[in-house]
Amino acid sequence: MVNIRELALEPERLASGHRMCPGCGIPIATRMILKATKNPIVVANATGCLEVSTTIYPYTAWRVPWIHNAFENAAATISGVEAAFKALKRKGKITKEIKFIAFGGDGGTYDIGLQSLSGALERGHDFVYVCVDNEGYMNCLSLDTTIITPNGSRKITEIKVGDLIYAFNQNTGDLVIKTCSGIFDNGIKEVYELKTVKHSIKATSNHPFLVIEKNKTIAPEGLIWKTLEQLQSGDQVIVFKDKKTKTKKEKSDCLLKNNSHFKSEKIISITLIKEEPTLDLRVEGEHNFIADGIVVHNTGIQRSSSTPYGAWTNTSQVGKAHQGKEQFRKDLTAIIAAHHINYVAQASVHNYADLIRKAEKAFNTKGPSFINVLCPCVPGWKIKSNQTIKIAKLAVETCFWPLFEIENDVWILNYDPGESKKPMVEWLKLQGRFSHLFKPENAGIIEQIQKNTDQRWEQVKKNCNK
Amino acid sequence: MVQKIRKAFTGSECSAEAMRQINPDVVAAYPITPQTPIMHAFSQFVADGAVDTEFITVESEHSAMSACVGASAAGARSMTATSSNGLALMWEIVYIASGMRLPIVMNLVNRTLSAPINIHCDHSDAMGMRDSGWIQLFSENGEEAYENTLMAVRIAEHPDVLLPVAVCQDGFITSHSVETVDILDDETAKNFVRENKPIDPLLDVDHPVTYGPLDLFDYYFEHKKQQMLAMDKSADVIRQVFDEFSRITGKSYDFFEGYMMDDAEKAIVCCNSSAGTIKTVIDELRAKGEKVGLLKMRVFRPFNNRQVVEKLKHLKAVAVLERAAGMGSYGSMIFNEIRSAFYEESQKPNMINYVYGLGGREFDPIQAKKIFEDLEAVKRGELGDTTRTIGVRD
Repeated sequence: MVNIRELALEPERLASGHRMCPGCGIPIATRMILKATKNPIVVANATGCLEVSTTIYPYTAWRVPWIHNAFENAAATISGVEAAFKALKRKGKITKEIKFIAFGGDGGTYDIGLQSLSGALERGHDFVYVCVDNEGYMNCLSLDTTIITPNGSRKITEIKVGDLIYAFNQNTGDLVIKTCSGIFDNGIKEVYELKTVKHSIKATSNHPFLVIEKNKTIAPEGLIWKTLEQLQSGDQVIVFKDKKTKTKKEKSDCLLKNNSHFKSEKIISITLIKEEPTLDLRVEGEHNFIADGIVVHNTGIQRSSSTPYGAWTNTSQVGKAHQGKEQFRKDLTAIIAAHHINYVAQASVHNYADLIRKAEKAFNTKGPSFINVLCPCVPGWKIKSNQTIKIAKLAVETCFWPLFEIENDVWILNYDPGESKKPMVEWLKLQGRFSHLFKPENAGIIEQIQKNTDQRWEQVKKNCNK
Repeated sequence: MVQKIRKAFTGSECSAEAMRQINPDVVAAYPITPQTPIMHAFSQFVADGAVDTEFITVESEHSAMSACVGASAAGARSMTATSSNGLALMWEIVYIASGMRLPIVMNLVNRTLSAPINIHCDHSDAMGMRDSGWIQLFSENGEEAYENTLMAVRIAEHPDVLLPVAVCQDGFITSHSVETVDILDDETAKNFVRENKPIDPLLDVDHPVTYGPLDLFDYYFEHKKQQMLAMDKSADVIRQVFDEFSRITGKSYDFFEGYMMDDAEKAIVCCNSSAGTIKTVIDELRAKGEKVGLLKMRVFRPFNNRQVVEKLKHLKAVAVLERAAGMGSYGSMIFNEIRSAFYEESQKPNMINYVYGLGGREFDPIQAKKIFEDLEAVKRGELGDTTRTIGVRD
């Protein structure tokens, strides 16, 4: 059993700087699991958030050998790797003891990859399969901000370090071409809409704008940087002059006069829109860049067979006729248990000690083993990025996601809240994907969810002889 | 000392024999007719300890190719075999194998695709994968399937190539027919295929590598360009491997292999087993003084544009036979490529296209004779229907 201090000293096998959303449960689970063995390890990864966000070529966050093949075949892929290991070991070409692990999301495991996994389990390859279950096809972020470059408008996600982008020279007022020196994930932020006569700009509260200082008409002295939260209606902000905008004669003798690229416009309103994932660019020399500032997410969030009853997704919409997903989730862990492999466990990101203990056991099990880890998803569950652990914990405390393990067909319950079992409402109410259930007319759905959770919990207890 | 051992083998047994001598590290396969006898024979080799291969009996062809990708990336020499719908199920991973530049060798026992379901030969499976980035070798008979399988390993694993290779033979016609074949002694065969020296394998844990990252518009195209160049370069490697193998067997190998072509005026182009039937007919017609010949395609991918022109340009009439329908295209796949190869040429034969033998419909000497008869009018410039079928009820 490891303690957190020892754990911190273990090398990180998944490097920081990957592009998973802030607050995502998956990298938390992945990092902890990879720390649970000191052996060399080879990772296979199904298509999904973890794969796309950790490996955009030419970058990789993986400090261990890693392979992504396709969506539905992580288990078959790792079985090929493991077979190669056995064959080459037998021929004396490999001497090390290597561990093998496959990661798949719930889409790649419960749905499209179930056959591949079932086959690999039955064949008895020596590997660990981890389902990082975030209850849907959540996909990664797609950010839509447009950046103005010498080659025209480009999406912020298309900009790479080293690319040339237009920036504003504060001293001369010139539009200058500068090199992008860094791209940063800004996390989920409150996004505001700043409206001027001609422009609408979406930005975070700390996004800097160049404004003409009150009572000073002459620039550059009169130009200062202010963050959006320091701005008020009536302030004059510097905006990019697109070709369609007619040029008004500037009143004062400032750098904006006759400037073909920039002009000042009066702010009409600044309003909070919503919380969204954001990116930030850094430009060498100049701090600013020309963007429309609009930051949106996300093309994913479709229902899977792991999505809970009642949840909103993009393919289980909420409307007059339907109130989200109308099926209860597949009990994958029990399906895996029916393969009678030596080790099966259900875990959650909030309980690191339990998760790592299970991962250690899985690595030390001969033959296949399986861990299903609940990993809250910030955009998909519509939760705040600082509530991942809390919500994962509540899933366990409500007995929606019981923690148990099955060793050689013996079920062991790892956590029983007993009398302090919390009602499902406490878990549901923190998640935007369930917000429609709290309309009075949907009370029956919550009742059904509670009833189903209770039934499944009783079954797990029974399996564990409790 | 090279020894040739004469055996009575089916085409499947020939492929299995090559696999025994190759002794791959990993074989992953799923049963499908008519490929299955290869795996039956190979499974026996595993059981007898004649190979020390990890034999993964997967739950689908999709997983067979997936496991081969994993094994090959791990650094193992990896093989599989399939037919028809099995290849169709592998489809997604067929592209991934070539895109990841993994030298997997697959025996493809050609069978038509459903629907209607039919277990017999045509080449619609092979033609479907023709642009997937796999090198494709075709085999007239069991002996060629044996030879092609040994050569495929050398071609695939060459550092200038690193592409997967499919070795085709006709389902049932070749795979289930017993013929006398010359098999090389084990030592010669093993020395020829050499030891696999994988580049950047996953199992080199001290030098971790990432296989299969997300690759967007900024690099994907360059990677595909590299793959295209590798396919182009593979032609030189295939030439070298053919020549090297030729020095062992005393036979000659080529992208397009001619039979009675030097003074021929009329010729048929085809691949796989129908070549044998056509050769018999050519012998008969030559005895009557007819100047007829055959050009057998051994390599479809990479397509040797220049060679096909060199070998056909002096002819007056050519019929390209295709055991697959190019639904909706003007003429079928091989016909289109050959005809296109002649676009800039001033000297070229009149050319027509026949679709034949779909779903295992027998291709017999009568049909071959009929085609040579038809070519008489074509020779005179009376092309008629350029794209035809033969051996089918109207």
